[in-house]
Amino acid sequence: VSPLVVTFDLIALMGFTVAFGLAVATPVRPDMRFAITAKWGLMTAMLIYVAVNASNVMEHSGLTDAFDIAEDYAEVLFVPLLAYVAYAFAATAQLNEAHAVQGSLRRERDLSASIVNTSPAGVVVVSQEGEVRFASDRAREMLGEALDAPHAPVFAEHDGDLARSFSLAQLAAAAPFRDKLVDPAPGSESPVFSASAERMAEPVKPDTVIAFVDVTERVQSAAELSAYRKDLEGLVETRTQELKTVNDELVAANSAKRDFLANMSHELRTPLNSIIGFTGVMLRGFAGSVTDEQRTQLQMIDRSGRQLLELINDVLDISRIEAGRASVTFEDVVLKYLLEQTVEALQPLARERGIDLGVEWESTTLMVRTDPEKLEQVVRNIVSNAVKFTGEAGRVRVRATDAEDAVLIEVIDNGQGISLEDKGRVFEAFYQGPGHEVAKTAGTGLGLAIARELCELIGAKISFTSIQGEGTTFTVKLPHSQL
Amino acid sequence: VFQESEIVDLVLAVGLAPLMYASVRRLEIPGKVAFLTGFLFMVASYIFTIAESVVLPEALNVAEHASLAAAGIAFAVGVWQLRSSLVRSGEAL
Repeated sequence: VSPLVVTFDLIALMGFTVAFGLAVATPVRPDMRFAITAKWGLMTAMLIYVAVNASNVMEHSGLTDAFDIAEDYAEVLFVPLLAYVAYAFAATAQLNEAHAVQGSLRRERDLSASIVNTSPAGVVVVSQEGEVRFASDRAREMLGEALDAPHAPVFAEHDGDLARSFSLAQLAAAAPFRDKLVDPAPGSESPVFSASAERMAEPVKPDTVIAFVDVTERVQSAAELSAYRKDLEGLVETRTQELKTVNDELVAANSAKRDFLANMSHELRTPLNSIIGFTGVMLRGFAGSVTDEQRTQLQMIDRSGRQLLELINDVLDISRIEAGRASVTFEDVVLKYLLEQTVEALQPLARERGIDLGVEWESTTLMVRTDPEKLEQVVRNIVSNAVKFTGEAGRVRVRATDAEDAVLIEVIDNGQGISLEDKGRVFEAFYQGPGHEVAKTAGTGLGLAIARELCELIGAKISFTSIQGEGTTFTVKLPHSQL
Repeated sequence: VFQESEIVDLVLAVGLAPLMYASVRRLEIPGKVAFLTGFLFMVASYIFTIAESVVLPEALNVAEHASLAAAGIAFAVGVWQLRSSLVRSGEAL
């Protein structure tokens, strides 16, 4: 026998001995039957070849061949043992995998149970036959006896119709649905549930999962809100009616006021004209000579009468405009004549107050299409206002210019200007600035208010700029579209 | 002269090989390759044992014992890898 064979036998003996020792030391879970079997199978298989190789070493080294026969029998066991070890390893691996899956499923189930049991929704699983397979704690609190009698018609759709009552089983059979409002005890002060259901993903006879959410407060709130809305609508309608009545009364009162003013003014104007006329006759001496004192008194009567007449005329004008009774007649007007005529009429007043009043021209042929009477009154009121409120030795200029999109009529004075607090009230009726001496100016406080109303009537715009201590400029803008 | 046990060994090894392969095919265990290698060396030794009765008796006898030595080493490596892996990961079979 070759020494090489003995060497190989020794190597094989050592290899299998080490394998056997390591197999003995391999840890194994005591609860894993297949793993224990695998370990013992491996140990035995290795041990067989430890023995076989030991027998070979003894035989080939010439010590003894007494074990040769036994060696042949033992060798036969090796491969089946090894096959069993392989099978046991595979089984162990599959069991480990199954255990892992089982643990994962258990965790999933625990999580699902926790979610279901901590949810404010009550969850019920109903079979195809209408039997309750599962009900969460919350579902038991919410549904109570209805769970014990799934075929009893204890539910009603939340519309108050008792004829449409149905059982839990029928509710499940109607799946899938979402947010169906159901009343678990119709006809009483019971809660209202919102039910949603769907069938589970099972191929045959799938169960139905129904989730109930208590929406009693929401439904009650909605009902209260609806009632409140109806009340509110009624309230708004009542208030609207009241406002309408008050408005009608105000319109009537305003109309009465206008009629009163118009009538009174008309009635006052006739005797006032007589007073002014006869005062003039007496001042001119047609009714006999008058003393100086009498002349002074008569001049006071004449001045006061004219002021009163101006006031009455202004009141009549603004009443007519506000009542919508002022009519406008548009025609082509040469501004030069209109402005000169207006300014000329106010020259006596200007002279009386020592005001330098005049017209400045950019073009003497400027024409506008407007109501000449209304425009003249607007200009007259503005100029008159400027003359009255510009101090002695002041200067008032009326200027007409052709701008890009409009004709501008400006009345420029170098008076004291308008204070900041007065600027917002300049166009208010009967408003006269507190900084001025009303008696001295002899104004009615209606001139600019009338001017603004008339401007609106003829489609013009009135505005002003003023710097205190330097003067004021009023601008009437007549758009070209009207020309 | 053929020995009956040698024939039986070879028949069992060849016959059970597909079953063993099917068992460990999808198995992910440490030392799997070493175990398979050891098994193949065992099958080789069975073949050499039978063949030496027909041709090249001395050479094939040496090959048989060399195969057994290689199988022993392969199994030792396989068991060592398996055990080391388990001990390292703190797990058990």
